[in-house]
Amino acid sequence: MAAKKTAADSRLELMQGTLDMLVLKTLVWGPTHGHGIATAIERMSADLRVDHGSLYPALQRLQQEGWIVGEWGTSDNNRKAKFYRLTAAGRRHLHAESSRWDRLVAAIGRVMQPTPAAE
Amino acid sequence: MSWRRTVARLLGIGRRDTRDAELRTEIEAHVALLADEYRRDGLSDEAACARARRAFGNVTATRERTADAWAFPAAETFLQDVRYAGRMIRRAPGISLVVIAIVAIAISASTALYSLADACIIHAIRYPAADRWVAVRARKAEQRTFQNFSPVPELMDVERLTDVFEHVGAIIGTGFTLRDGTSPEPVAGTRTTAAVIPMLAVPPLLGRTFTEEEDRPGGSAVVVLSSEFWARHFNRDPSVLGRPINLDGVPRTIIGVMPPNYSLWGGEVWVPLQLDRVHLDRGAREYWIIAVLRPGVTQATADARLATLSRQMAIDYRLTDPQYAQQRYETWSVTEAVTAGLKPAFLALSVAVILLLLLACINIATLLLARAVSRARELSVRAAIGAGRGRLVRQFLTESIVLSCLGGAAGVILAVWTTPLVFHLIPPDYLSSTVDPAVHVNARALLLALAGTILTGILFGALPASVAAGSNLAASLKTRAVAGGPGSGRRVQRLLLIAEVALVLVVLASAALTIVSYRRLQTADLGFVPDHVLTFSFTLPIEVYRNGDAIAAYHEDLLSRLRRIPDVVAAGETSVLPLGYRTVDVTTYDIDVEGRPVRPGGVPDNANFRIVSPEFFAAAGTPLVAGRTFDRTDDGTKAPVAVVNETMARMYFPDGAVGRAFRLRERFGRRDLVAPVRSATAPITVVGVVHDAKQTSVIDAPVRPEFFLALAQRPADARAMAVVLRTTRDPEAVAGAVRRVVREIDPGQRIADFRTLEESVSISLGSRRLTLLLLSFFAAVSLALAALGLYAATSHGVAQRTREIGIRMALGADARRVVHLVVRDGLRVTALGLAAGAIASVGATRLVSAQLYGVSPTDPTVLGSVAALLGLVSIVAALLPARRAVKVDPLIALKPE
Repeated sequence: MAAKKTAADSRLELMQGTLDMLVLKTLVWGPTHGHGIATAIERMSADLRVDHGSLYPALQRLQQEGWIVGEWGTSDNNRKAKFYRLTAAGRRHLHAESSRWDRLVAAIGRVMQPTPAAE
Repeated sequence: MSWRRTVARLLGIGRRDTRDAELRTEIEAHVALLADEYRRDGLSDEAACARARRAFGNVTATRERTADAWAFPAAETFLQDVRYAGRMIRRAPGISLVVIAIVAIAISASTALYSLADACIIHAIRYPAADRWVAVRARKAEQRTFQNFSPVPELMDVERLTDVFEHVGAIIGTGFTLRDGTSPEPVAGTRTTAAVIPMLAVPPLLGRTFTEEEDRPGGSAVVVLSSEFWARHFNRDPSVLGRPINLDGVPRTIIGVMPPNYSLWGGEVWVPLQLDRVHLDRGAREYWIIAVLRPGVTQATADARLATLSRQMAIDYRLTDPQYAQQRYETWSVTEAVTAGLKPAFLALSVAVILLLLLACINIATLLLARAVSRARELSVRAAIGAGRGRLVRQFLTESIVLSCLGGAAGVILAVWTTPLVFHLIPPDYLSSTVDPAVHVNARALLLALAGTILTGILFGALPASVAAGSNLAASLKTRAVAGGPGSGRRVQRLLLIAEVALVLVVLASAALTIVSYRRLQTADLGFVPDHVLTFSFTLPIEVYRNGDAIAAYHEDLLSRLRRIPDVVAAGETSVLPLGYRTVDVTTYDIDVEGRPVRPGGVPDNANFRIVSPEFFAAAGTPLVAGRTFDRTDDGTKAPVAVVNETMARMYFPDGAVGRAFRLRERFGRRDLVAPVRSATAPITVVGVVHDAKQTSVIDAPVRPEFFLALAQRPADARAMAVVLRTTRDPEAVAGAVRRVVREIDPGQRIADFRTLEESVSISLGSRRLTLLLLSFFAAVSLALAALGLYAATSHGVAQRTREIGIRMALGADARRVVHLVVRDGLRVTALGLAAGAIASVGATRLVSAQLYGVSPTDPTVLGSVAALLGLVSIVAALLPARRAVKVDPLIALKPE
């Protein structure tokens, strides 16, 4: 299953259902392979831990939806890897998802940090 | 799940292996990339690889979770189960083949039977709305008889019930003489009103059908041909339309041809009835009323409407037609009427087929149960490494369904091949003329076979599965003894075998009773002697024989010439041949018996009647009981006389019939058989009583009261007659001479139904012969199944107890004791099964009592002999494997595994 969490690894776990959106987002900057996606998410978030194994069911799902396409290619250090590319449909889906996410974050934020009401 | 993913998953079924390989390469690349990173951080090769693996996590779990998205996990397990079932089937080919064979036999029998029933009964009439067709007939309240024929005014009354009937029409079968070719030829025709045409809802192949205008009195003489008639007489010439053909001396214009296999009331030519709706006579009952129920209207609703009509008629016509007080109009499903003769046979066979299916299930369950018990160890292992109980049950069910599907497929192939063969065993007289002779297994039958197959698979798989799920898996893993021990599996198996023996006894008893009935029927007292008798029928056309004198002269001449043929010992004539009464449209008279007044509101006496020549009784072989038969002096110059049968004498003249008299009242029946009553008032004196003779082709039907009138006294009624010739030699030998005589008198006169009386008897036994044949087949199959079940159970027991037998033999048990040990169980099962079966038979054979003749459903000799037969077969089936037990070598049996 998931890699055992060590005491040293105190980074945040991904929220349920957000992985698909993050994968699509990382592919906006160009096609990359599974390892590239995982490290990109970790690097950009600076505080998220991505379970590399859980990436593959997600990639499978996104391919079946037609949002990404996988093709075999060669990595920078000359290893054969499958590169995933964002499709037009994927781009549209990402756009819809991120605006939905923005609204969600704003809504949760309003609840969690309420402006004190006048007494 | 979006539709895209569903499609992707559907496409993914069965491609698991290639995809998994690809995923593995991808994950390996991923891990390698991770390791590259760690190496760059300064770790050694080995440490980098290990760290990368740890960082990635459980590769197998990832693969499995990803794979779940490819197709449907349930479908994947199902395929896996099917593959596993295939392996198990190949591993035990003997049992598997037996199971497949049993299912194949059961499914083919039921599919073939359904196909036949579908063609001959359910869709016997192929017109689209035939299931809504009804005949409207009058039930005579207390006589328990029906008047199938109605007069025109009553037709008009029914026609007004437009709220329940879509169409109402009149129809009547008529024999025509075709006078176009070199010699005249009889043609079966149907006269019908134009209203009947739209109810067919089948367009003609060529031309058109007739119109309302053509159906009015004085309308043009038109005719519609059946496709078969068109093919025979016109070689399928499409230019026949507009041409005339001469029927009964009337030239009729051909206006249409119907498609193949669509006849109407058996008629090959249809002509408009052209009913006279002005001069109405409520006493002239001459037509069938047929109607089509409006969609959604049930027969019960229509019957209620008709009851109201009947009550109103009784009030309106109480003075002129008092008989209406006794009659109630009812509907009669036409499909039912057409197929009535075949129904009991099919009912009996359906029961047989259901029993057979049940037997097959029990048998297979027994076989698989034995295997399930011996697979206890395998099951335990699978359970131990994590197979859930539900998974095991599903595995078992999959196995049995795979087996039943293989059997079902073989069964359908068998059915496709046998259905036409069995169809040809049905005597044509029992089939409606609309039945498509190319009977085949249709889509409905296939659907039924599929349902039957799957149901069978579930039924016979459920038991072993539940036993496997319920058994103590841990215990059987520890020891081998459980497999042979008296576990729940063996108890269930024993119960199943008992049930099987009991069921087989029921089937055997039913078959045996049918066989005995058939034998009794063949030797039944028919009231006539069928061997050495030749019969044929003819109708004297009205244009040639215009009056009674001409008809009388013809009969006189014919009989005297026939008598001169060598080998002919007696030549008689009759209006209805022995067994010739139709079951549905008997022509009868209501009669007034002198000194037996009808009580007010009561039912008049009614009897069948025939017109016969003096020598008829001698020719048919019907013995005289009292008085005399007719002689040459009983002619038109004398007072009318009659001969009655014993039933009529007993019912209407309990103090002796000879010398008493009766008068004719209303007549019911076909106009073409007898002319309307003229001398209704003259008393008819009974001069003799003859032995009861069977009247209808349903030989076991009770004999109705019947009187015989002298041909010489009613020649005008003797237009449609049949000759009965008794010969000393083979009756076929005189056939040529008979045809020559008929040609000599009138080269234009045609004869029909040329056959021996024995043939008529055999035809009337036809549906029973079919029942008998099929029931015997089922009985043999079920007996074989029972034997197989017992054999399999015993031999399985022997195989499992090899060790035990070895020990016993090593300790000195002799062959007799070993056989006893092995057979004991089988014999106990047989005894219990026979006892249960005997009780069940007593109840079940009552159901077939309608099919029985001259034998009680609980006849002890019959039941005793089938029980003995079954017992014997069971003992043999149990003894055969016992021989193997005796040959067990203790040394080999005791070797450790």
